[in-house]
Amino acid sequence: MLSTLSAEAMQGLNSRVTVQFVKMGLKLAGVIMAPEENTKKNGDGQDVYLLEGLIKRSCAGEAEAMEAIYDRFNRPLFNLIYRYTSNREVAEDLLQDVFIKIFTKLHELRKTETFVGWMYRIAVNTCFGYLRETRGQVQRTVALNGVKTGVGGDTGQSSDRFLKKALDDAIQSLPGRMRTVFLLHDVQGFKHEEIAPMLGCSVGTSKSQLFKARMRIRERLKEKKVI
Amino acid sequence: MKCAKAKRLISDYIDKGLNDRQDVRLERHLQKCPDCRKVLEDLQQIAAGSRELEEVVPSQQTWHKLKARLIPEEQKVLAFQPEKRARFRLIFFPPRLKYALSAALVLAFVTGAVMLGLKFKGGVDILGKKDPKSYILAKLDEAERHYKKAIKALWEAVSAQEESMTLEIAEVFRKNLMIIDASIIACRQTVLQEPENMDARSFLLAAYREKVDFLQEMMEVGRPPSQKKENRII
Repeated sequence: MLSTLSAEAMQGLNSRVTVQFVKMGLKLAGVIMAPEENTKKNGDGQDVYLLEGLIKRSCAGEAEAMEAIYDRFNRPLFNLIYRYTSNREVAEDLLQDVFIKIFTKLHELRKTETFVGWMYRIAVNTCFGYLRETRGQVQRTVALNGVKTGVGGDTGQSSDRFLKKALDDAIQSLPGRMRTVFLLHDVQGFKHEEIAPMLGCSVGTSKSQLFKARMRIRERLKEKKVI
Repeated sequence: MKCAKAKRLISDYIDKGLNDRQDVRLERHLQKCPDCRKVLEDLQQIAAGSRELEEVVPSQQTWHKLKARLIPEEQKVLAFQPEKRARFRLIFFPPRLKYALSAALVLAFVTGAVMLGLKFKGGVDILGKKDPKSYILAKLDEAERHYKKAIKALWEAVSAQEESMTLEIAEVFRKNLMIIDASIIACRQTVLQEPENMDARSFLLAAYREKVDFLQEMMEVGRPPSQKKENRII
């Protein structure tokens, strides 16, 4: 459906780069927007122009445009960040840091088509920085999560919720790069072709990291007898 | 196909990333190998579960905190009155302009004093109606005097309440007042340079009105809670 919409939207634009951007933008819209808002935006190329306009206005320092960009992207970025921190307050602080970097460095962005990937790269790098700073604390958090899961199982949680909780814990136990690829691909819905430039690696590396991540998660879930 | 190779392909198979030949070969292996079929089922379950993970949403306050960090210190106070920010931003940009305008104001006062001195001392009506520039300036002076009178009265009223303000509100009050005063100076200087510029005149009067309105708002804030109608600032 996405590719059909993108193709229709791009008729007359004759730009391969913009086609890729629209696909990315529409897909993101699917992730972050309310369903009714999403249906309004689909079907034409206005979305990409809207975003371009917002970027230009944000560069000029317009707070309203910045707020619109924040409204569009805060949820997927927050979900990504939260799965590095496991702590809502810390994730909110990091989300602020990410948007501060985005808005203060926006004028350095050469092509608006690369905005989404650029923004995610900033978010991922910020999360890596956080992990480096708090390595010891993160290990303790993972251990506590393990205790919590055990208690939840005993009190009769539904198997679906139990799986999600165990999955969340397993994701948080992954090493940095593997976790990033898994989150971007399986949770956020990006393709390997989109992830590779974000992380500065090849498509093959992205695929291999995803395979390893999935296998590690499988091992963790098997240990907990979830699957 | 061996299991090790099949397992490496299973991940791509789930994402529909294999070519037709690889698809057929893997499916043939899966039919024969229960271990690899289990891996496929598990990875499919993981991929499906990951798409349905609980979505977390940042609190509403996050944007406000972010906005406060984005707004330059100078404009932070005006964030309380967002519709007025754009107008003031034009006046204060670039910041160096403030110093130039302050110097110009001093010059304006000296000029005004000399002119008034000439009027009362020599009896020459240099502010007569025949000179439109002087006439407008004189009328503005008159309006300014009225505004100043109103501002003085309001200022005395607000000062009486200042002790009951919290430190944060008192700081906001002081900064807002500084900004409004600076805008009055800037507008007045523009009017002195271009007395026939109606926009400049409107801005000057608006700046005075701003100060009157602001002092009224501060009176509202400073009032004890039981007497407050509404808090328009925060």
